[in-house]
Amino acid sequence: MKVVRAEIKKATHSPRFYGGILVSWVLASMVVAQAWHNPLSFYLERVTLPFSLLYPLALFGPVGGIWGGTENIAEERREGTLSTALLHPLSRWEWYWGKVGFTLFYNLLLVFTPLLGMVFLEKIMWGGELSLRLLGGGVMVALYISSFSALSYLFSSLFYRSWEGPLLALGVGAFSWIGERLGKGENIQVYLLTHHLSSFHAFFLPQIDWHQVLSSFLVLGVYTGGALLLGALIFIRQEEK
Amino acid sequence: MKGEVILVLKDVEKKVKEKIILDRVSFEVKEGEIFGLLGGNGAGKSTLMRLLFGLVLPSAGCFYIGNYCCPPFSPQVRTLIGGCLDNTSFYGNLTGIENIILFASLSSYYPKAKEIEFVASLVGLEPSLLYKKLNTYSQGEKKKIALLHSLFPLPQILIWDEPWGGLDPQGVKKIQELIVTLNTERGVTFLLSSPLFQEMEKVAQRVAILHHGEIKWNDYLISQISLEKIYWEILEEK
Repeated sequence: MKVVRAEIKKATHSPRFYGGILVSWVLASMVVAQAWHNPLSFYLERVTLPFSLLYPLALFGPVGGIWGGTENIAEERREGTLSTALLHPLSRWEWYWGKVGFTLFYNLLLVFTPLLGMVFLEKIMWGGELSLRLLGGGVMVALYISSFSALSYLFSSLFYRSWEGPLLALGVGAFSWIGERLGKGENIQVYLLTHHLSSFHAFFLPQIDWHQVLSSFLVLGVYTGGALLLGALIFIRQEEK
Repeated sequence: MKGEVILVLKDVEKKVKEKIILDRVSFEVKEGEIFGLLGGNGAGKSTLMRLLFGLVLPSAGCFYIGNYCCPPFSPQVRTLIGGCLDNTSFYGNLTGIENIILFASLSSYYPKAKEIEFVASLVGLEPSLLYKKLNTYSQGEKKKIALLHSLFPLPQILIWDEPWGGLDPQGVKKIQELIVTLNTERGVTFLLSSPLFQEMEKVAQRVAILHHGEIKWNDYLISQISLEKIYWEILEEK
């Protein structure tokens, strides 16, 4: 927890921290403005509301998620602040998971601060019918972004240069996107990361598709947990130059 | 208890891609002692310091800090030692005091601003400078922040890699005075490294000379010994 606390303190001085939150708020404001301007279309096409906010968050959020891993492992290593932290009574394991904890918290912040505003708006306009579905969709988007963060942690732990981690994490995303378009059969596609980009949609069908929710949750959970754990195992065995 | 051995290195070896950086290095540091490690550039001093902090692992051999064998580094060992490296880095977008508080919090220690300001004056750092962003600091000021940050909380063993590197003569004097004060008044054990024998002999009670990764000489500094002569002889060895 001491690493997470220190990280929060550090982040409050970082323009990039506020920048990410600001972008997600601007996005939410645009959706609100659109809903205010033409509430009927939102009402008639219920799916517009989640798509207007959650889809752009799922599409662009991974960039912010990847930044977390790069900033916290590769950049700190390059700048030498990782070595400074390790002069203190702190193990590499504690340091790594503290950083991961903060990144996951930031991902939640990125998704849920505008989403809670949206839930509030939805409650005022339509009586809160979609609130729980919106929150469920938010969980899926946060998990999707976190899987990219996890890949970035893994690759940043594995390679010492700061550009390698984000490039490889984006590479996995690109490979998955191409694979999805080239591949045949749902059996393989379901394991590809980008296949779950709009997994939040399952919450907005007339009947929530729990099967899809569960399968996306499992695949994204395995990507996130597996990459983070593997990253941690690599990271604790490394030396600082 | 004062005088007991608190740090022991036993045949510590470090190889990087078959190149021997440290060659079976052995020495002991007693509690309450100021131990100096002298050596020219590339002698292996910084690697040795990094090794003691667990930043790099020995290829062979081990060392004891207190009664704990390292590696692995237990949490108890980590609370015994503290210090700074030759190139200790901080967050440039934070002020000096924010950096100190942030890193101290990793030791679960939360110093007050007044306390930091007081100790800053002891290392020759203007307290007002603590409130400026670190990326505006000079090299010497960054060095002082590195030394200062290692005092929160004050560990039993302070390991300082080239503590006067990049400092002006006044700064060097202040740091030497601080070393002696912490040693005599607070009983802090010091392990210092430097390539400069003149500065080392002003504070160290015992000195080891590291040359090409090997300990060539290790003894107490007494008036009959000319450290300068011994050091030059070793440095000029092929």
